[in-house]
Formats: sequence, C-alpha cells, structure tokens
Amino acid sequence: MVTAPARGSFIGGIGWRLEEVSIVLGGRRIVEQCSTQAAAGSATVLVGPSGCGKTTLLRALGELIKVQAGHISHRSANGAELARGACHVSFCFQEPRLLPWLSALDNAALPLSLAGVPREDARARAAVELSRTGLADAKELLPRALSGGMQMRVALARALVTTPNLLLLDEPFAALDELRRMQLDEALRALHAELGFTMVFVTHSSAEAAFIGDRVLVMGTNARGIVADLAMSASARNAAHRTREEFAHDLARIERALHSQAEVP
Amino acid sequence: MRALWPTLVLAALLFAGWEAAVWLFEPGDYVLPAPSTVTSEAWRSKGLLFAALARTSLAATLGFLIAALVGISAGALLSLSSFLRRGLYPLATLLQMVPIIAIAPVLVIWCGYGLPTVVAAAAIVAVFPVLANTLDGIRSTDHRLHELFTVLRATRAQRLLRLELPAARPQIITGLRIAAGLAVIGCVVGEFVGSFVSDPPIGTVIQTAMREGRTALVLAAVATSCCAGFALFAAVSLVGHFMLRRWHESGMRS
Repeated sequence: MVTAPARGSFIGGIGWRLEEVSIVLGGRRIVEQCSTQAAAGSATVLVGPSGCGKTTLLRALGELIKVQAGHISHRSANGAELARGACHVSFCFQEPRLLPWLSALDNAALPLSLAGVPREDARARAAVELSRTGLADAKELLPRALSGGMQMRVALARALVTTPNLLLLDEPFAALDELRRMQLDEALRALHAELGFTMVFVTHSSAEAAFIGDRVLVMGTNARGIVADLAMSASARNAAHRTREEFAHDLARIERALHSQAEVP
Repeated sequence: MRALWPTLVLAALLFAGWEAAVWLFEPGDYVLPAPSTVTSEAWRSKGLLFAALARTSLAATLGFLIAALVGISAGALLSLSSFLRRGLYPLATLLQMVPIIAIAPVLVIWCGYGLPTVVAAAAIVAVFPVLANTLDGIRSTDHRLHELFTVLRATRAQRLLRLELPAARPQIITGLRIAAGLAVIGCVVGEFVGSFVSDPPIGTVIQTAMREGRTALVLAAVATSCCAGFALFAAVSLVGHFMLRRWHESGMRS
C-alpha cells in the first residue's frame, strides 16, 4: 500500500483567489490591494520587471510570507474555500536547492521521507517522478554530477512527488541556457496536461510567459500590482507552438503590456 | 606519497644537520644526544615505549571519543537555543582558556590516579574545537536549503538531523582533526600528574627518564607520543575523507 502524504488528500488542481491583498516587506510596500483569481487546473504566469512583486505574490500564495491585509484562499474545484493545509502545495525555487550529499533519487524522495513515508515507498514514488522528468538513468547520481538542467529536473520531480494540487514555480529555469529552458518549459506543460495540477509560474521572459501560461498577469512596478490580465490562445503547447501565429500574437500582446504597462483589464 | 617527498627531504636534512652538529660540538648526551643515540636508545627501550604507547593511545582515543560525542551534541544543543548559546558559549570558551596543567591536579583529586584522570584531561582539551566547529557548521547551513525545509514543513528535529548536521560535516571533521592532536597532548599532561609509575604511559616515561638524566629516552618518548597523535589524526582524516569525498570539495582532494 502506498501511504498518502500527511497533507494533500485529493488528486488534481485547486483554484486560488486573492482578495485586496497588500504585502509590506522590510517597510516597503510590495503589493497593494491586489485581487484576482484562477480556476482549478489553470496555468497562470506572473510576468513583470524586477521589483514588481511577482515573487512576493507567489510566496504569499504558498504561505511562505504573511499578508498585511486582504485574504488569500485556496479553493476546491467547485469553489468552496479549503482549510489551511487541506491541499498540497509544492514549490520550485530559482535554484534547484538539492542536498549535495543525497542522490537524485533521495533528493526527489525527500518531501515524502520528511512526511514519514517509509523509505522504499518514498524511493519508488520518487523513481516514477524522475522518469516523468526524463531522469530515469541518473537516479543514483549526486547533484554535482548533474548539469544545471538535470538538477532542475530533479527539483521538478521533488516538487511533483507529493502529487501537489498547486505547483508554484519561481523563475525555475532562469539560470539555464535558452535551449534547455525551452525543453523544460515543454516538459512542464506536458506534465501539467498529464497530472492536472494548478500552476503559477513566475518569469521575467515574455516568450516563456506566452508559452507556459493559459493566462498571463503582467505586473507593474511601484506596487501597482496586476496591470494587464491576458488570456493566451488555447492551442496545444508543444515545441511546434512557438512557430504558430497565435504564439507570436500572444507574445506581442505581453510585450506591449510590459512596455506600456497601461493595458489595465 | 609523491606529495610527501619535500617533507621527507627536509626531515632528512634536519636530522643530518643535527647529527653533524653533535659530532662537531660534542655537547654531551645529557644536553643534546645525536639522532643516532636517540634511535638506539629507543630500540633498547622498545618494550617500555611500546607499552607506554599502547596505554597513552588507549587513553587518548577514549578522551577523543568522549570529546567528539560531547562536542557534537553540545554544538547541536547550543544551535537550537540562542539562550543556551549566549549563556554557555562564553563558558565553553573559558574552559578552553584554563591551562590543563593547572587543573590536572584537581582532576586527580576528583578521579583518582590512573586512566580516568588521563582520559578526562584529554577530553577537556579536545572538546572545545569540536563544539565550536559543530556550532559554526550548523549555523552556516545554506539559508536556501532552510527555506526548502520550511516549505516541506520539516520538524525541528528533522531540520537538525537531516539538514544541519549533515551539512556541518566538513566543519565537524575539521574540529575532530584538531581534537585528535589535542587529545594526545591532554593525555601526556594528565599522565605527568596522574599516572602510576608501575605501568608507565608516555608522560610518566618522560618524567622518569628526565629525573634519571636520560635525555635520549626523553626524546624517544616524545617521538613516540608524536606517533600516537599522528595516528589518531590520520584515522580521523581518513574517516572524514570517506565521509565527504563524494559530495564536498574538501574531501575530493586526495
């Protein structure tokens, strides 16, 4: 029997909602009266210049930081508010953040083993996630033997091993070269289609935003919050998508919003 | 082995110079015996020196193990509470300032003559570097990994046992290496005041030989204690190397 993790009692995505959220960090207003929401299973991208508060908002969604005012809630597929800790949230950071003394497999199994899942169960489930992210042959390698892209794949497997309802990604592939980043973007969209989790993805690349998001929220500086709320085209996100006309169109809309920061919904 | 040759050449030159100086100036065996005299004295007293080496090594190893256990546990404990850290760390520093030769007589009063006093002296001088390095290693754990453990809702015990202590291993091993050398020093000092002359360890051999004016035997015994210290140091380094070589920079250089 596979033991379920301590939290995360159901499979699939959850919705989330921000109501009049304000966040102050170190005496500086980062986010002011920000409201928006997303449906279960959605893929939302936060994009904007440095210092616009996109990472802060993501961390608040993951309950890593407190909000000074307003309300952040996680919602079931039918819209009911979920109690704190009732759903499973996973985080992917800007860096892989792997423990250097553990193999790829043990790193991917870490969330389960910290939650008390027996070692062999945890490793078996981690092995499944590592094959999903394309690392079936590198399970026993230590992080230092892996390339940056492969380390990030381990981090992705570690985020998926707890079958998250909500996956939060903070510029996860920003340190990789263009080609690797595009490959990982494609892998992530494929996993999203396969597993049905809700994701929120932070990036400063408009091309990545257009590819990952069903919806792209453009954020402005000086705590202006969300300045544009753009729905992306609905076509399938594979490598070919980047050559489609819809993609070019989506990209242009994001670029325009970023440059003018005036396209308020 | 290739890395050792400068040391070997230098040592050979030093001993040759020493031998030549003794031959030239004839200071007398009581003041400065030649290396050859020390070697032949060591050979003649090999039974005595081996027995002394065994006794001192046992005591030093026991003292080292106690220091390792206490130092790592205390370091971990102090890392958990800033109250304990601020309260106890200065006291631990003070403990390090107390000259071991000065408290050795008190140890004899508390522990009696023989092994316990010697082991206690070894443990007291060896514990501080282990504690300080453990604490330092734990406190310099990558804050980004701490945040990962926060996201994964790790308990405080999990954070200590699965993140902080494993991450502190390089510093802990540095502390243990320093402690290995210090344990032998503490032992010999403890033996000066707290050992039986009937079963002499190295410290006692040195004292007896000094009283009898046998400088060559004193130097042979000093060399023997160096061997004990070096063996303990090498053993710790070897264990550290195998513990770290797969993932930490310090363990990869062979």
